[in-house]
Amino acid sequence: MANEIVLETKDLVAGYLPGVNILNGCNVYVQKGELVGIIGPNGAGKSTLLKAIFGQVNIRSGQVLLGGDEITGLKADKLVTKGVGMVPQNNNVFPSLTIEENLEMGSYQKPKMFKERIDFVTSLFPELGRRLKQRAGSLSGGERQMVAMSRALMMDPSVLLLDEPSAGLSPVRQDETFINVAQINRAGVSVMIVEQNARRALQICDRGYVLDQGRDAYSGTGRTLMNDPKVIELYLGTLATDHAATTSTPTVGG
Amino acid sequence: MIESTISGLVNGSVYALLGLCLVATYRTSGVLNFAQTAVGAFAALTAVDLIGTGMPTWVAWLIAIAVGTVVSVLLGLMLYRWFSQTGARIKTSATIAALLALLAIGDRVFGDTPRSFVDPFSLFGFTLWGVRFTGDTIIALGAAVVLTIALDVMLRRTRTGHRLRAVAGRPLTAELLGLPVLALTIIVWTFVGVVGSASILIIAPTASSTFTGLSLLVLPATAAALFGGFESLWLTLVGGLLLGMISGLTSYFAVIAPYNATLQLAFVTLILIFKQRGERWDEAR
Ligand SMILES: Nc1ncnc2c1ncn2[C@@H]1O[C@H](COP(=O)(O)OP(=O)(O)OP(=O)(O)O)[C@@H](O)[C@H]1O
Ligand SMILES: [Mg+2]
Repeated sequence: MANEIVLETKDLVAGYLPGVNILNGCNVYVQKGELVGIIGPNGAGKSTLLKAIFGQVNIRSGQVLLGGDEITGLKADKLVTKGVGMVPQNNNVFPSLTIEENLEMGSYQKPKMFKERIDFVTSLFPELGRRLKQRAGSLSGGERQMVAMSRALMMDPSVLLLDEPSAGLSPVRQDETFINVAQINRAGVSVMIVEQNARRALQICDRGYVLDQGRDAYSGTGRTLMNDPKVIELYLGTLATDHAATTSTPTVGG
Repeated sequence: MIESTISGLVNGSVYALLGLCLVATYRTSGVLNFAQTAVGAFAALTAVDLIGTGMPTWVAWLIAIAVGTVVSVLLGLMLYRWFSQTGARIKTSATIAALLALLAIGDRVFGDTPRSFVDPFSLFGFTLWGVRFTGDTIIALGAAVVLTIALDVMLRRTRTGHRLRAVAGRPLTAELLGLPVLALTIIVWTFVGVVGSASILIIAPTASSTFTGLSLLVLPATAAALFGGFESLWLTLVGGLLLGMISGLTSYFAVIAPYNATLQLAFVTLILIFKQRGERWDEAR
């Protein structure tokens, strides 16, 4: 893995309403081939960071760089052609379209690549290939997530931004989704993933950031962060109980 | 009696055309546009008043359709600008507000004196099995069938159709993929502006001749669209034609003729009751 930086934010300050900054100088980067996790409490600005990178939020100061080129504030259509893909937190498939049509929307800017890319995506997720004609609205949450990520892969992005892909899924489906993300990453796509489910995210990530009040409060490898006493106290602490609640109930006392 | 039923075909075809516009708008922008017929009424009254100044009919019609289209696009842009982040219910309520605003403006601009509309198409026609088919029946019916086929093919088979449906379902997600949401929005509202205005121009001579009366054609149009569950174009066509023929038939019987409008409401209610199981309204959201 060459230490070449694909995507980077420098002192990013951004917000929705005039005078209210949600990001207060955020510095994060993703290296080529890396899987980077962004965790942090609710309202820390994780989604806002992704939206700011993707030109959906007003940037007050700072920069976003893609392979060293400035892409600060560029709109989605430009970013997509430059090789940045994003899957939003909610409502991420087109329910009235079939899986195939959903994927077709992904290759909107390069329709000629459709055949080649759909082969790639269905080799990654063979299940999709078998169900291309099914309406996306009839899929389960985990399947929808798979469609949405695949659709973002249709443009052959160099970096993929994922906002809480495991949100709202059952533990088994969450695991499947994390495996899917890791698989996409292994296929050569750099990934920045925002996750509520911090522990699991840090397990699959090369590196991670803890975002707090719009700043990158801590960073390090997944393992370092998981074992950092401050991170555990300030953030994973709440998750430790969460973790205990989901894993220990059936077997405790046996 | 058959004569009355067949004469209902003109109205039926126009109900179908208007219903098709409603379905097309719904499927391509997620909006149930209650203001659509008011926009058409704007066009129709513009046409009459222009013809009244001595302008040739076809020029007046072209200008009228252009006016209707501009109003339609403005409405679409307003919804895009201010309501793109909201759900179907809020957008639909916004079109009801637009309907009320248009009714008020229409009343100021055109007043409520009934107009007499010239009907350029009723002059030609033919007689089959003793029933006369006039030019407007043929044109309206032909237009309804052609529009159904065209929309069906466009929405299901073409890339643009898929994109329009994508934008309708999830405008924000579509934007994140780089789809040209604004351009697609303008295409939709231009299209329904043209077809909606032309439809009202066709029906105006046989229907009500005031702005409010024409605006309320949204009722039978909604009934036709409901018949198709706001999804099926072919069932919308059938629904419109059925509704037209039923009102044609009932107008033949003097006793029930005055209740024609009530009949349309009854039709809507019946469809709603039968459609309950479908729950089309929110499923696709
Ligand atoms: N569209 C918006 N307009 C105004 N303020 C917003 C908007 N979206 C988010 N915010 C505010 O920005 C702050 C950060 O929100 P953000 O969605 O980035 O948090 P998050 O870290 O993703 O939280 P979560 O874990 O709940 O998804 C919150 O205080 C929120 O109220
Ligand atoms: Mg979030």
